[in-house]
Parts: sequence; C-alpha cells; structure tokens
Amino acid sequence: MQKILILILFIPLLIFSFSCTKNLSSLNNDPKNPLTVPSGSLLVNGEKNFSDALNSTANGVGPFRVLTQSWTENTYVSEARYILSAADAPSGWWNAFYSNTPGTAQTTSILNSLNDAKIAAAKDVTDQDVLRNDLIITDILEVYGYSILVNTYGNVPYVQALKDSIPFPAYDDAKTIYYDLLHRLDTAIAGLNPNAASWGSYDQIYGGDIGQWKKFAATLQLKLATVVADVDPATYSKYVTSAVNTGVFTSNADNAIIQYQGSPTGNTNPAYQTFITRHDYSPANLIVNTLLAWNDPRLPLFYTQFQGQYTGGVPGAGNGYVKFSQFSPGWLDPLLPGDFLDYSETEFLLAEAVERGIIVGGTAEDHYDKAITASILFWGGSATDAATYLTQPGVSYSTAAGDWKQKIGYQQWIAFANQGWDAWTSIRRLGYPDIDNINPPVGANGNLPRRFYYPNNEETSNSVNWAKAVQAVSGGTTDDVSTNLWWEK
Amino acid sequence: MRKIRFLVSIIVLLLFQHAARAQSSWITGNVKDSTNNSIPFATVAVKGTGKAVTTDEKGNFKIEASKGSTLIFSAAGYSPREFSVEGNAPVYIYLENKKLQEVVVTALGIVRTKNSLPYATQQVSGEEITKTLNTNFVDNLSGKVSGLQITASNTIGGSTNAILRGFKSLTQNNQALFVVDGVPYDNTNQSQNGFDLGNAASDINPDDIASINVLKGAAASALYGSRASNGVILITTKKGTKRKGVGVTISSGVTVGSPDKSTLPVYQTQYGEGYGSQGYDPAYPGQSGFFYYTPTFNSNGQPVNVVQTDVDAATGPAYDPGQLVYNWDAFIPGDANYGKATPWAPAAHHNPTDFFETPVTTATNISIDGGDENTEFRVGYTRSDDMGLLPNSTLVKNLISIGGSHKITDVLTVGAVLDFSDVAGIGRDGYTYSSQQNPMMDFREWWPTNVNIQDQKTDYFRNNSNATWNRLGGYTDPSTQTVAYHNNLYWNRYQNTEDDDRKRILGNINVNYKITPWLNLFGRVSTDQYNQFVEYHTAVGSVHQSSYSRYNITYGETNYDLLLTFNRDISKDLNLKALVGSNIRRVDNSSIFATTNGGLVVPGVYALANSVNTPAAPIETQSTKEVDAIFGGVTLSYKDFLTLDATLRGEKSSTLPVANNTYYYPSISGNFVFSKLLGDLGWLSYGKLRANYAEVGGDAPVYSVQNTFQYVAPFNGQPTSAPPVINNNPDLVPEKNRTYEFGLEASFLKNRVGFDITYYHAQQIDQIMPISVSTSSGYGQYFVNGGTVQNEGIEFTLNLTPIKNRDFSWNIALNWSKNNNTVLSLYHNQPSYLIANYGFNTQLVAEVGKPYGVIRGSDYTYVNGQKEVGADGYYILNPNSLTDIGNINPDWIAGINNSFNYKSFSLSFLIDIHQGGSVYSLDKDFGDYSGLYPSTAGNNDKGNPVRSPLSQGGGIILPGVTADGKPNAVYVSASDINQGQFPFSSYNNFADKSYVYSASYVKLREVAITYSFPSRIVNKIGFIKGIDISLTGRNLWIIHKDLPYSDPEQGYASGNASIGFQVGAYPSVRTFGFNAKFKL
Repeated sequence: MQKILILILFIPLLIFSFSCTKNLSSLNNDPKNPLTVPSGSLLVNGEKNFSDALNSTANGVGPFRVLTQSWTENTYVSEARYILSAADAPSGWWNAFYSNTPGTAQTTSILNSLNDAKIAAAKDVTDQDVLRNDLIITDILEVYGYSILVNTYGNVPYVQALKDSIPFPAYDDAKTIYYDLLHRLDTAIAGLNPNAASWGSYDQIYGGDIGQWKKFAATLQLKLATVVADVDPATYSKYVTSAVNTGVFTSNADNAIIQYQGSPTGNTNPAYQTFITRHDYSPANLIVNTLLAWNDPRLPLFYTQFQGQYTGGVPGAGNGYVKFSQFSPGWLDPLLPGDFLDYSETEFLLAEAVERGIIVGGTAEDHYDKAITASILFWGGSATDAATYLTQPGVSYSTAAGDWKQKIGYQQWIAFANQGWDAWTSIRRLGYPDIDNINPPVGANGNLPRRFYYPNNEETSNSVNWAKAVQAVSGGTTDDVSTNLWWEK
Repeated sequence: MRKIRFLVSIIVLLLFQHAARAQSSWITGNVKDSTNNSIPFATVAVKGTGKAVTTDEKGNFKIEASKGSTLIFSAAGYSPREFSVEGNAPVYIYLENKKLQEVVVTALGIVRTKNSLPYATQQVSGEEITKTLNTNFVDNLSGKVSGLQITASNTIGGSTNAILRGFKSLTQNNQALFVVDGVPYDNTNQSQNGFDLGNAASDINPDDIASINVLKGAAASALYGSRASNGVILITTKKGTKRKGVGVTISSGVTVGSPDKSTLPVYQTQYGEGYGSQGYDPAYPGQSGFFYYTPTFNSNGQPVNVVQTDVDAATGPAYDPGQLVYNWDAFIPGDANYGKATPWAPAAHHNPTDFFETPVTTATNISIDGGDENTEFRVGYTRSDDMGLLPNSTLVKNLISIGGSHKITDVLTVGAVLDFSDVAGIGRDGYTYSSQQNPMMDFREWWPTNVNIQDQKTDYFRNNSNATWNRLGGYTDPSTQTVAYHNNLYWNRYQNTEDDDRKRILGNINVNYKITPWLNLFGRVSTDQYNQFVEYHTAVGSVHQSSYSRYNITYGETNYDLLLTFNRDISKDLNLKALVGSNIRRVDNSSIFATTNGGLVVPGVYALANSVNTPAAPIETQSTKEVDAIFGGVTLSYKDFLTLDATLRGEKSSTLPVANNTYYYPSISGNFVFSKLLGDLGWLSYGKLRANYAEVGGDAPVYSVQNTFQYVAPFNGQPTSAPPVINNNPDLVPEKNRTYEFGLEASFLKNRVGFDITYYHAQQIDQIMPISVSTSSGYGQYFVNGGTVQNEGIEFTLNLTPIKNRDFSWNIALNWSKNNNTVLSLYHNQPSYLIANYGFNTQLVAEVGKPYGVIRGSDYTYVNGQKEVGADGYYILNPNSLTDIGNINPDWIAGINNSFNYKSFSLSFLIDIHQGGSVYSLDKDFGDYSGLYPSTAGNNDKGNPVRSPLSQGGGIILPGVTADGKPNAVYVSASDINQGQFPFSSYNNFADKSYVYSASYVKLREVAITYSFPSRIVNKIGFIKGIDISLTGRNLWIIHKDLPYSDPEQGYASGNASIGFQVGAYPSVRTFGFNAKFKL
C-alpha cells in the first residue's frame, strides 16, 4: 500500500522533472518580434525618421529654428540663449541619425534604418537591376544624412560606423568624409537605371521614380558642393557644373517631400505634434519684423495676428505666450509635408553659383526671383503675390541691401523658416542675417554656435575616440561650439 | 467593508469559545531564553502523564496540571528544565541556550545547527518584522541585518531596494532573491509609466512570517544557483502546531502618519509668480513687465496688473499687499475672487502640507492553526488598507494563506501551501519628472506661493473642472484660457489617475518520503503566478492629450524540485550529510500594452474604443525562460566542531547560446568551533571560525542572443519596421561570481556579549550586460560579457545584554557594515560606461578603478580649493561639462537596536545610520532656477534684497575667490531672470556640483512599546490566552541629514539608477501605530 502511495505521489513529479524542454535554445526565439522584415519597411522607417528629424521641434533634438530666430522660446529659453546642454540637443540630433539609446521616447533612427534596408534588400530583392536601384536610392539618402552630421559636428564616425562588430567607432576627418560623399553622388547618378523598377510605393519621397531620384542626387550634389565654395572653389565648380549638367530641380513638382498623415499622432507633422499640448514657442521678432518691413505675402501664411498685429518674441528673453503672434493653422497642420530638398533652394543655389562665376545659365536675379516665387507658392501664396513682392525695394535683387551674400542670405533664411538646420547652415555660410550683431539673444551664451559639441554619451562611452575627435576639431581638450568647421573661412 | 471584517472577527471568536470553556485548573506561564527572548514552540509536558502543549510565538503556554506534579520544559537548542507545580501562580521559566545547537534555516530549507554553519547568515524573527505595522515588510528589515542596505521609498506601496553586500551587477538586477518556504518569490519591480507600483515581494503577508534568514554570500546561497548571486532573503512562514483544539490569533492595527517637515521644501515668500520682466510691453514703458499690464475682461478696457499666470516660476514681482492685482483666481468662474483684483501677497495655504491627506493604514489579521500527531494546518487572512499622503490614493491588500501537512504513514508526509493575494492600488505616486503624475515636482520645482491650495480644491470640486492656477492667455476672455504646464492638482489626483490590481497565487505541493532513517526523498512542485492590470487615465481638458492606456502583465514561475538527502553518523565522531537534487524552473512572462490615439471622443469614458483615431496595435511581449539544474553537496562534521562543506551545481539555461548554456560551479567551506576545544573557560561561551570560497554562474536576460526588428505603425499604408537598438550577442558565455569569506563568531560571559565579524571579497566576472556604446555603431547598446566588479567589505554584528534579571533586561543589537565597491574592468578596455542619465545633464557612470555609480555633471574650477570667480563676479565652470561630482555608494551603514523588557512591558528603539554616498537633487536645482527657495531671495550683506537691481544696492556676491585667491567682491544681479540676471541653478551660473549632497542620515527608525497582559488577568477573561498591545512609531525623527528639504533615502522607484537621484521626491512620513493581538 505504502509503495503504491509513494509511486502515486512521486511519479508525477518525476515525469515533470524529465519533461523539461528538449531544446532549450528554442526559447530564445521571440514570438512577438521578427528576425527579418521586408527591406522596404526599413526604408519607410528611414525616410520617415529623416523627415521627422529635419522637422523636429524638440529642443532636445533640433532647436535650429530657435537658433536661427525663425522661432523663439517663450519661457524656458536655454536654446534661444545658445545653452545647448540644458536639453542636450547635440545628443538628440546625433542619435536621430545614428541610433537611439534604449528607453528613449524615439527609438528608431535614420542611418541605421537605411543601412539595414540595404542589408535586407540584398536578401529579399531578387531582380539585380531593381536591387541596384534600391541600393543607390538608399545610398543617396545616406549621403544626405552624413552630410548633415559632418556639417553639424565636424569629424564623425563614418568608415567604422554602423558595423555590428564595432561598438566604439573611430571618427573620420570631416573634409575626407565630405569629399567621399560628393563622390558617392557621382557614382549614384551614373548607376541609376531608368529601365528598372526600384522601391516603388515603399519610397515615400518619389514612389521609386528613378528619374526624380537622379534629379534629387544632382540637386543634392549642388547643395553639398556649395558648402565648400569658399575653401575649395575648384571642387565647388566641378560638382556644380556636373550637377547642372545632370539636371537639377526645375519646379516645385520636383520637391523632395514626405506627406504626413492626419493620424495616428505619430504620423503627423512634428510641429503639429508639439503644439497639441505645449506652447513653448513663438515666432521670433527678427523674422516677423523682416517680413513686415517687406510686406511679405508669407506673413499671414506663417503667422496669426495678435490683437490685430504681427509681433514676434524677443530671442533669449521670456516671451509671454499671450503677447505675440502665433503660428498659422497651415504651419501647424498635421498634414504639412516634410521638406527634404526643394526647388526654391535649388534656385537660390543657382543664383549663388552665378554670383560665384559658374556658368549654370540665367542671371543671378533670375534665379533669385524664381527661388522666392517657389517658396511663396509652396506656402500657399499666388504667383501674383510673388510678383508684387519682388517689386519691394528691400526685396528686388537690384535694389535690396548689401552684396549678393546678404540678398540671397536673407531671402534663403526666410524660405528656410521651417527648415531650421538649412537656415543655420545658410547663416554660417553666407553670414546673413548677422544675428550676432543685429539681434543677439538676451542673455546669450556667446555667439551663434558654429557647430554642435559631441553627445555626452560619446564622451562617456566612446571616450578614447571622442578625445581624438575633439583634439582634431577644436585643437584642444574642450569640445567647443564656437569652433568653425573646416569649410568656414 | 469594515463592518464585514468586524462581523467575521466576532463569528470567529464565538466559534472557538467552546474550545476553552470546558477546562478548569490551568497553569499558565511563559518560557524565555537566557537573553530574555521568548521561546516559541517549546514543549511543556506534565511528567509521567503524556500530556503536553507547546508555547505560542510569544512563549506563552497554558497547561492543565495538578499540584505536586512536575512540568518538563524543553525546546530545540535549549537544555531542558523541570519545575514542580505548587500553586496557580504563573510560571516563568528560563531555558539555557544550548548555543551550539541553535538551528538555522539555510538554502533549500535545510535546517542546520548554527554550529555547523560555515558562512554568514543573520536571522530576524517575524516578531521583529511586525513590530511596527508596515504593509511592505521589506522596509522593516532596515537596520536589522548587517550588509543589507534597504532603501525605502516614502510613497504608498512604493518600491524598496534590498541590496546585500553592495552593487554587483552593472546593469542587471542587484536585488536580493526572496524565497518563501523554499519557493522563489518573484520580486520584479512592476512599476510602469512612471508610477511606482512597488516591488512584488511586498505581496508577502508580514503576519505569516515566522522568521527571516538572510544568506549574504555566495557560499550560503550557492545551492539556489545564479539567481541567488545577490544573496537570499529566506522567509519561513508560520506553521500549524501540534496542539489541543485550535489556536486563533487575531491582530489588528492602525497607523496614522504625518509628513516629516524636515523633508519638505521651505519657500521664499518675498516674490510670486512670474518670469521677471517677461510682461514688458513697449506700449507701457512705465511698467516693469513683472506683471502683464493689459486690460482684462472686466477692467473696462483699462490696463491693469495681471499676474503672469502662464509661467510656473517664482521669479516674478515682489509681494506687496498694498497692490491690487489680478491673480490666477480672478479668471476662474465661480471662484470668490472671480473678476476681482486682490492684494498681491503669498497665499495663506501654499505649502504641500495643505495638499496632503493624513495617511492611515489599518490592517487586520486572523490566523488559525492546529494539529495533531499526523496533521498540522494553518490558515490566515489579512486585510490591509493604506490611505496615502496624496488625495485619492489607496492601496488595499487581501492576503489569504492556507498551509498544512499530513503524515500519511510513518515515512510519508504530504504538504501543501496556497497563498492568494490581491493588491489593488488607486492613485499611486508617480516618480518621474511629470507634473501630471507627481505633484512633488510642482511643489519642489515649479511652484509660486501665490497659489492657494484650498482654493484650488474648491475650484476643482465646484464642477470637477481643471481650474488651474497655471493658464495661458485669455485675460480678456477667460473662456479662451487653456492650461499652460500644470493642471489643477486635484484634477490630476481625481481625474488623471492610475489604478492597478495584482492577483497572485503562490502554491506548492510537497511530498516527503523517509526511505530509511538516514535517507530522505523530497519532492515539490511550486508555482508563483500573477496577473497585473494597470490603467492610466488622462482626462479631456488636461495639459496632455486625453488618453486611456491599459497594461496587462502575466507572470508565472514554476519550479519542480527533487531532493535526496543522506544523513548518517559514519563513526562516533563523524557525521556525513549529503544531498543530490534537481530543479527545473520555468518563467513565463507576457504583457500587452494598448493606448488610445489622438485623444478621447467622449470625456470620462475610458475604453480603447473611445479613441479619436484608430489606436495603434498594442505592444506585446512574451517570453519563456527555463533553467534546469542539478546539484549535490556533502557535509562532514567531526565531533560537532569541525565542519567541511562542499557543493556543486550545474545549470543549463535557455537564455544562453546553445554552445555555452551549461555551466557548473562549486563551493567549499569549513568551520571550526574553537571554543569546544578550549573547554569551559567561563568567560568564553562560544567561539567559531569559518571560511569559504564559492563560485556562482549566471545566465543572460531573456532574448539577448539574437537581434529582432521592431514593428512600427504603418506609414501612409506602408508596413514600417525599425532596426534593433540593442545589438544582441550569439557568443555570450555565462558570467561568474567568485567569493571568499572569513568569519569569526564569539560570545562571552554566558552569552551576554556576542559578536560576529565577516570579511568578504567578491568578484563578478564576465558580467553579461547591455553596455552603452557609441550610437554611431547603429546601436545604443551591445550585449556583451563585459566587465568585472569587485565588492569587498566587513560586516559586524554585536549583541550585548548589559542588564538581565528576572524582571528587567536590556539588549543592544548593533549591525555595522562597510562595502568597498570597485569597477575593475569594462568591456573593450573602455574607461567608462554610462549606466543612466539622471535627468538633464547629469549621468550615472561606471568608471574603471572607481566605485560603481559615479555621478557626473558640471563642476567649478577651483583656486586653492575654493570656487573660482571671474572678474565679472560669475563662477568659472570647468569647461568639461562631465566631471565626477559624486558617488552613490555609502561609506558604511549601521543599525543600533535597544530593547528593554520590564515584566510585561517591552520598549525597543532602532536607530538607522547611513554614512556617506551622494545624491543629486534635480529638485533643488530646478527649484533654484524657478526662484522657489530662500537661497534665491532674502537680503544681501548690505541689507538690501538680493533680487533688487544692482543700482538699488541689490545683487549677490557669489562665494568664491578670484584667480589670485582673493575673495570675490563683485555683486552680480539677480533682479530679472528674463534678462539673464539670475545666477542660481545649473541652468544659469551654478554647476551641477552645487546640487550634489551627502546622502548621510541618522534616523530614529522604529520605536515600539509592547504590553503583554499578564496571564492572571487574561485568564479571567476566559477564552482568551493572550493579549498584546503595542504602540509603535516609524521614521519618527531624522536626527541628522545634509540634504535640504528632503529625505536622502527617497529614491527614484527601484533599480540600479534609483539611488542617488532625486526628482519630485516625496517627503518622509512619520507613522504612529497601535496594534492589538489576541490569542484564543
């Protein structure tokens, strides 16, 4: 009896004991997250994140509209005073391109999505011609992404970046990277095959249209080459000429934009997302007053009136939300497209090329007028509005104040009202508007930053390479935002 | 509910009355040991009759005996004593400790004599844990065990960190393992979305705990395997006892709390809401701009002074009761001041104490136990209700436990335990930097004193609206106002609530088969399962978009244990014990999180379907982990004074790559009771030396060997996915913890003085961790075997009994420990590694050669140790914004408990000391920025207000020296933050270093006065066998601390980055309690 009892009691336990999972390692397969995904789904992510970063309003990611006085801050004014450490935008901006850290709100990034899209495409795209187009398009976007990093920080990880086996990539020389990027665009333009398909509807910018991507690559080449115009006129001339020969944007229809959605909230324009709950920004007085002075038709397209007037906040000072113009419903529309590169900018660059003596066809004024007109049309103004505006003495190319740098600089800055990073680069390149002198922020911490310092995480978690990069860029041990990048004279 | 509880108590009382009424002639009494501690479960027998009873937990007994008969008192570990009965007077018997025979529960529930123990353990009785009423018993371990660092949170049901012998793992769990009656008890911190839901070990019913044994080192816990590498807190629950009838214990307690004022902010009351001259308007050049000068809806078009209600800082205009202004309440329809200008003065009720409620905890426990020769059982029920400091916060626990065993035959016993708990919280305390979740963020960082909290309350309750003090615009038409940054505090508490519920079952069935007297087979299946359901609400009309989110977590752990033990005397002097066993552990985790999108359509309906836009797909997780283990051990004891122990455990873990998933690790330990050899020295009662070496292997967290992509919401109809942010590693190998330890135990003068000193040295090698890498690698973290952390330290306990006689005794128990923590190496020879970002520009970092947990942030430059000030009067900060400015590890921790017993009274008090370590206070930093604290106001050395313009003699001299070492004498302006004239806070001219404080404290942690009604009184009541009444106090007095306005112990939930950082810290709460315990 007792033995039977013992058997009854212990046998089930013994059975359980030996019923342990035969193949324990199968438990490492996560049933909820995939090992592989369609390559196109990664491209979508890369493009969307790219647009989100360029349009970010977060003071911890892209405070560029605030730095360039298109927007300014209402009460918490660190970025307006060039105190970047408060919200640590240099980390947020860097991570938006390379990769985020686990646990942060935004967990996906641009370059690693694009890089993984290429790796995945090599496996899931069977037609070699299509694959070639896919890789080239992704490469063009990567070039754009790296150009922004290089022109924000100086030296950045490039050759060793985005490699699974290299946790602590070394930094490469900014100029070397930059020339490689220009060269990569040549390769891309030559390699695109109009007779084969590509990403198709995964591509949020051009729906996989090879002809458009070729134009984009050429226009990007024009844009990137212009940055080195002051320090290397020969390279500048070479690439501008070849870009124009390839064919750059010729109308707003060519614009590289991403269409945002009305919902879910995460798929709306980032500016809209910000203003749902917070009211941290007002238009800055400099841009509002500039538009006012020239009767700019974009004024009502950009802003609402406050008590019957257009007024902007003072950069660096606290600006009661209750005292100023606010952003127009159009600007805060969830559907406002994200702008990568547009026709207006193309024409400004061509105007500059004429002024710099490159033969690109047309006069500087011609290109300048087209650029402004394109911007006004893009924001919803009419051709008539634009024509009237161009007759304003302060606007007309023949009568506007200053040299070509000032004329183009001011107008490009207005056209870049919602493209903060480009506005920053334009000011750094052309020197206009000369914020440091004409409207320095109240309580400014030095002058307008010429670069970003490296992320804190680099200092702590990639410290050896970080120290070398700081030495190379700033010539010392202090990671200094007032250091000019290599292309600034 | 309370009525029902009362009814149940009455019924229980009635039911068991008959058990007592029948008897007539009783001897009552109490059994204590030589140090005056009660001896529970001692046997009291009447010689020659076979009649016997056991004492209860307090050592009380009651037995029927006739005059002239002899009582025999005996208990395990004590020398028996006889006593002849002469009358009815209560009998107080002291039994001499046979110290050598004292038993201790060790790993796997194996009971060993203390004598044969070769490693450090420390026991705490259930009584000590329940001395003061606290629904989280882990808090009550503070100061009672050397080497155990308890960091309690002050919030309702909040988290408690329990760290033994320092931080070992850089990134994984550092918390001790909880084991209840041999069954691992999950202690995962289930805090979600910034609300502190506490650590799951707090589900354990403190009233069920008979004793707690703390296994501190690897040797002690080696048999539990990798998960025990942080030490084990081993809980033995109360069991049924062999007795006549049944025993019923009813205890009920109530505690009432109040916030400790020294842990609350003190405000400057010279300046109110505003952001300097932000309101400046060129149209009114005569106005300073410290108010908006603008017409309001009822000022007939005339501009009047309006408080800058859109900002949340106290950097506004100086109070001036003679000046009438439109304050926030002028724009709240229905408010008594609606449309009225009122004097500009601090509000009468602006302190957090005006907001807090009185925390009340009530707890009632009923337990019934009984048994006979073959069967024993115990059932218990505890209900506790916590009402927190914050309005509308409650935590209700219902805990049921059932346990018993039955001897089927002489050699076969079966037992079962089933515990059910239901823990439900409403309005838990948020701990993040979020005003909606954490009102302390308002009170410590962004708060002007012109806000009257009572008016906020009235305004909210008038029609349950978000009538906040912090509004945007709408001065000409109040209906157009919107919330700026902060909701009405009451709106947050009553509308934007979190609520949660965790239902948990812990059970096991066990079988014990005594094959021969020296060979025993034990089997057990145990399971720990819970479901947690959490809901979050953001009401329509809040600062944030309205939303409803729900989070369901399912956790389950099942263990299958088989254990064969051998115990035989090989010769007269040599005893051999051996064991072999196996354990299979399966842990299943899954969760689903879903949230609305774009707001709620119908206000007040919290359902996913009530979403403006189609909700995104819920986020799901699911994982299973299995560890299969076999283990064996041998213990050789020679003459009860030399013991040699060896164990080996092998594990196969599912979380490691197949090639490396099996690992073995040994331990060896020995001890030597030298006092046995010395014979009776008189002064030396006991002496023992012990030494051990142990290794413990460890596996990886689940899903750390291969990379997976993440799904993202489709974009424009296209499937979207994102790359992993952690680079997992298919080449992980098991990590290893190597420890050696030496200890000396001795007691003197008949055990009146005793100490135990331990030195330990532990290295955690090849730690498996996700290490922060350069994000330019394409990943935020790499999962690697990457780093070695060393902990070495000394633990010291001292027991003193300065006075002991029949009526009075005084005991002192001292625990002291010091742990030195060093990061020896990091992955890839990196010099440093980021553990966590502490808020805005400060980091928690591991650096090679330094203790784990260095705080980094901005610092000053120094001249001769003094802060350097430039010619402009401002500090010159170190150009490197990340320098080491603190370290979270304490230098040492200690607890001193004094207890006094006089007849039926006992008094004890515990002082808890925490020396050293740093804490960075974001609260103070941001509060300085917003001008909240007195350090940003007051008068300067000229007797003028600091915030007056320099031209009016205002300004402040920042303490420091110029480059040549001379004291700074330049005044800097603090007159207008809007113009950059406000040097305070790390946002302005101060460094983060200014906000790093010593975390040291000395606290009067516990005071308890207990009165046990003497049996002669109790006996008159009849059916009651014992009544204890106690008055207790907890956290009564912070005797010393350096951190201003806050409790240095207050953490940031639990986990590795929870210590050393304060944001929105809750105050320490003093509690006073009353407890009554009846035994039937």
